[in-house]
Amino acid sequence: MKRKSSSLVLIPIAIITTILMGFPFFWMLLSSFKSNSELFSWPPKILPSSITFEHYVDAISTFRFGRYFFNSVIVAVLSMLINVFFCSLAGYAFACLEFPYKKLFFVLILATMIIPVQITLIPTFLLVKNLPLCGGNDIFGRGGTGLLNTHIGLAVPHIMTAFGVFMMRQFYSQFPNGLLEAARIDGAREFAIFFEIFLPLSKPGLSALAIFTFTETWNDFLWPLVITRTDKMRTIQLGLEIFKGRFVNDWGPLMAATVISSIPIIVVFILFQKQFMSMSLTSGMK
Amino acid sequence: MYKRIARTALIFILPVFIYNIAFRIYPIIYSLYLSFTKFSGLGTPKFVGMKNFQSLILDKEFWLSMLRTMQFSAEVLPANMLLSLLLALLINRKMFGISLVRSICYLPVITPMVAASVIWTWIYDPNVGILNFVLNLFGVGPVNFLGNMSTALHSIVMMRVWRGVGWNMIVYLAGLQSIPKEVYEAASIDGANSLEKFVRVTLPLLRPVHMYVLLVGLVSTLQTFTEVYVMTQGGPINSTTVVGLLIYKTAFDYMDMGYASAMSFVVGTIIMLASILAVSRRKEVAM
Amino acid sequence: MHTWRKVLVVMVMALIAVSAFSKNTVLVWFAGTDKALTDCVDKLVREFEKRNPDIDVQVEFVPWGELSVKVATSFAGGIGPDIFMHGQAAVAGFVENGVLMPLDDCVEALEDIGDFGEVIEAGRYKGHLYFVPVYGSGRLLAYRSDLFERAGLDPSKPPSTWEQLREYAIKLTEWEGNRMKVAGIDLEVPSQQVWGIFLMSNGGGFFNEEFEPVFNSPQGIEALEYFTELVRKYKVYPEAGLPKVANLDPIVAGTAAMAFVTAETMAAAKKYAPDVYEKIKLSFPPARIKKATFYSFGGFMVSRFTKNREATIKVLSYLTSKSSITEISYVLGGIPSRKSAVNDPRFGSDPIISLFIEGMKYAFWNPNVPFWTRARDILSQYIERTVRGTMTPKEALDKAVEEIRKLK
Repeated sequence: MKRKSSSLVLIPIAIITTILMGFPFFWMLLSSFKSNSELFSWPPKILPSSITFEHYVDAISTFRFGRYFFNSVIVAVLSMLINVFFCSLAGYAFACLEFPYKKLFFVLILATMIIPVQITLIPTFLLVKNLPLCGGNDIFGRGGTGLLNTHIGLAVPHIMTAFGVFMMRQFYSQFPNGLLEAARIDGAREFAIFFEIFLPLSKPGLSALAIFTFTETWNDFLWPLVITRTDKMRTIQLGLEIFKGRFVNDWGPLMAATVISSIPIIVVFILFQKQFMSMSLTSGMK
Repeated sequence: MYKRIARTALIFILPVFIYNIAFRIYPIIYSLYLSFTKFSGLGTPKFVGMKNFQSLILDKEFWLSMLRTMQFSAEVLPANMLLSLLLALLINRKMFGISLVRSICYLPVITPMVAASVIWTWIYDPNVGILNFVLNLFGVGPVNFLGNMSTALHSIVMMRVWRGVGWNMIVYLAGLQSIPKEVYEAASIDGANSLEKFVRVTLPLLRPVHMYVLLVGLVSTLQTFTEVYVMTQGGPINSTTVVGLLIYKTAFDYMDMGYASAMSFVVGTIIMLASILAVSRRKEVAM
Repeated sequence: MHTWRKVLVVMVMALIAVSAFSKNTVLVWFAGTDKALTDCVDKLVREFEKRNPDIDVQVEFVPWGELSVKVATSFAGGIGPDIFMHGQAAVAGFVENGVLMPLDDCVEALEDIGDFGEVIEAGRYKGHLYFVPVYGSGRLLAYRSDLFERAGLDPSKPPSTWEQLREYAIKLTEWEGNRMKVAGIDLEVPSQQVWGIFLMSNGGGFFNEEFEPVFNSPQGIEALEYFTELVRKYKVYPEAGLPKVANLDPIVAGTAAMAFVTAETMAAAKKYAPDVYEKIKLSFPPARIKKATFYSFGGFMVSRFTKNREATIKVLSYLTSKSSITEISYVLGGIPSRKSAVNDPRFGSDPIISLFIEGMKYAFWNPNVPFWTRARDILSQYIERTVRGTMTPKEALDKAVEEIRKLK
């Protein structure tokens, strides 16, 4: 009985929330199908009177849209996998294991978060360019272009992030102490404890981090701007810039391209958010 | 045995640690060096000692901007944390269509600024915006939300909260999911009702998550840049110029990288102090 | 088998190496990315390479929003372009940062420098030429013929003096209760470009030869007083500014009856609100002492670090020739910087472009001062302050001058 009435109250709240949160996105979606003269008509029309795909055709056939998309996908997936793997390792270690100077290590990693990213842009750029033994560089990092204009270079700011380590550490500290003790008493090796016990149980946290890393990498504009040298390596966010003119934007294709560029994040989100609901964490003490 | 544990731990953190030293700490140190120079981004940096910091201390614009940024943070954080927790609770159930609601709540995070700014500028428009339409129904005169110095910053706050709630909602959701069912079952057996369960079980067990949301929220709100850059460019009359924007302008518009670096370090220090303050206060509350 | 492959690889590498040495590569960055531009440039480049087989021109198209950051980081990393397109306002800053190569000795290599007329001065800084303008974008006075009629004004007689402008604006402003439904004129506060038009038409100036700010002269103060009174005394423009409506400029959306528009605004109006576009008429900004209007120019600059100087100059000369300039400016919807290019029938047949071309006679541009972006921001803020009534025009301009002096 209680459940029924609480559901009734919740439904209108859920609906209002959905409208508030989703309205801008849906406006963008609907606009991408409107013809130019309708886009900003006054008074505003929500639904297009006639659906046109011209902006989508425009967007896809402009430049190497497919290539930009591909680049973004590669970099985002790469970053996601690397970040989730290594941050969960480190997060677990900080949360559950004891070792000398643990606090110092942690603080050092956290410290990388506090400096605004605009300022480290150029030094990081120079570092990536002069990385030894990459992209034509000699052992001192001279001569070539390092990791500039490469997929790995694009991933550089998004892997092994302090945010990731921090988040995983917090999630792992939610786990009951007993779990680790019991496993050790059972004589399990440290590596096995992590990979076979903790890792499978941390799906919500891993999923959250996966979604975040993918989103951050996908939406990143400033770094790809600085590090790509040729059109072939551009990412989708840079591609969107193409529709922005000096004084006026080309709104139709811009909306269409923006919608297309949002699809992968939504897909990743839907895929991973299933993980949130599938967990019913038992204490594993059995 | 401890040696074994310690060794494993070190292996686990080594990749992350080394990477951060090489690709994050090293550039930060280089930026610190830049803050003692006059450098336009082109050419070679010229050493000027403490001059940048001396100018910075006297820089009225900078400190005003810093105050503004802190005000911004103080408005965004509590709203964001509360709302995202409530949202997470709302969607943390098996209800029909809940996963659709969940996905839609995440949309603001991924809606590109280009589209979000058009919509929000529209919402805030003094003539045709929805907010003013509603205000009009109550007989309140048109408010130029983004054009008035007194309302501009708060308007951006609201937009930022809208944008960030979905993010923290996911974090809280993951945190909620990590609380074992048995704990709730045990509490039920002890006779606790829903509210008591929430306050006595959920909230305390979410403490590590609160800490994360608070600290990361603090760091990211104090560094806010994109929303202001796209919506108001810092106006009207600097009332929305937060430090993130000021640093960007100084570095890339005015080509004064040395000064911008000095600014970043002062801002970074303040962020660090604020974080330490936030963490220690939470500890008190926990006691 | 394997030796064959090795030999082949070595041969190919040798060929590449040889061709790399015998070909000069020139890297050119264009600002702007629309298809019309890229097609046009590709065509131009192919022509050039046919005539100059020893030069390999590599072109990158950079969106305007990306330009400054990309240029800064590329030069910082030592991998900048040889020739790049940018706005004229950036010249002084780049020169002070040691990025640009002076073009004085290449003037003979460029086609007929006199063809540019006055406009070439936009590229001069501290006595040297650093920038060759290619196309301009200017502002003209625009007004809505339908709103004119509604206010009882004759659409064929636009205002031509400051007094008329004020009168008309007052008549055109429409109120709904205490809400300004239609502003008489869009003054685009806080941008300093529109105010600049009044400053210049009153005979004032921004900076003198020694980069000293001089806009607080009596003419400047007069211009700001006129400007401020429009807002505060005659209430023809809202103090809090006039935002775009759903991305349409106020004059297109109908929230302003007059405005100073660019050719790009007109093109956007044509695209997104064609029925309103028909109702917008253009004229020259009203004069006080002289007619003046603001123009900004895009053009080419050459990097000081270019490795193949001769090849680079050849490419520059080609890109700034009459035919190239005609093509590029047409495709960008701008005004060609060369007088001879103006005679091309494509420009003459478009009444709007023709008007903008005529407007070039009265053009002024951003001052070539190294700290221009900072100065511009300071000036905008003080203009905003007077418009909101927190300072008098004289105070504001004097303070702005004081602050800008410190930038030197």
